[in-house]
Amino acid sequence: MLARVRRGDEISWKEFYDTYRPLIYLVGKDCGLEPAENEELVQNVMCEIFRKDIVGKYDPDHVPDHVSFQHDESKGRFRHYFRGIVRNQALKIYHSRWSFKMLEEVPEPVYCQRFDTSWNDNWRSHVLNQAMTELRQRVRPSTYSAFELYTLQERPVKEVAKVLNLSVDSVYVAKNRCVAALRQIIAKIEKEEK
Amino acid sequence: MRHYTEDELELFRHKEMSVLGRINCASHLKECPACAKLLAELEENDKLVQEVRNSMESFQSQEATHRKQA
Repeated sequence: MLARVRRGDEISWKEFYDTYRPLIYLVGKDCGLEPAENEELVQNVMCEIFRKDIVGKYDPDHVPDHVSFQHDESKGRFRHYFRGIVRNQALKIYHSRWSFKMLEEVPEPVYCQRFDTSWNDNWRSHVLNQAMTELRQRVRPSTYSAFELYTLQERPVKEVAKVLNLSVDSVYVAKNRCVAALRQIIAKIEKEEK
Repeated sequence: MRHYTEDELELFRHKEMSVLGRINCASHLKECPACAKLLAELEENDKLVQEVRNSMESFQSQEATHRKQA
């Protein structure tokens, strides 16, 4: 997904929404937004990105599949462009809270610092999630299953071997193969980000 | 000197080797920087796996909450 966004491929609203909504939400949550404000943040960010296509035309929760996003490289790297939009929209919500005197006593620079830290942490998580999606497409299903059961679900190695009809050695082989591939994918994504 | 493979070192560090195998491997590791390095890399992999697991859990739990609200 990240590679396609960077290449300037057309990405559908739905795919973009499903991929980036959790990232926006988690950053908003870390910044102390209430669930309703967080939903507002997600909608505002999405509307800002798809502004020309959806505002005044569709309900943001029911946008047709043909509405798509294409990153314009003249706006800079997608990661920075996207971060800027999320940050601005989060700040707007922060300012509106001030006007209603609902805000906890967090000075704006502290709030911005909190945003930046959260963004960096959650972007890393986002990259890892994307890398896992790519890994699943890259390795054989049985290799991925062994990796998933043994490392992600932390099932005992002997149980995984039995369930998948493999030897214990093969489960370790699958795990190490997947970790090596994962490192390559993460390095590739990070290189493309620079 | 025969070096240990990744999978053998996995068996070693997860105590899946026979007692004799573990004694041999442990004494080999004291003398072989290459195998000791490989063992350290496997332990480093665990940190990456832990990071991936945490990332997936936080994103998935967020997704589950969203689906429940929807």
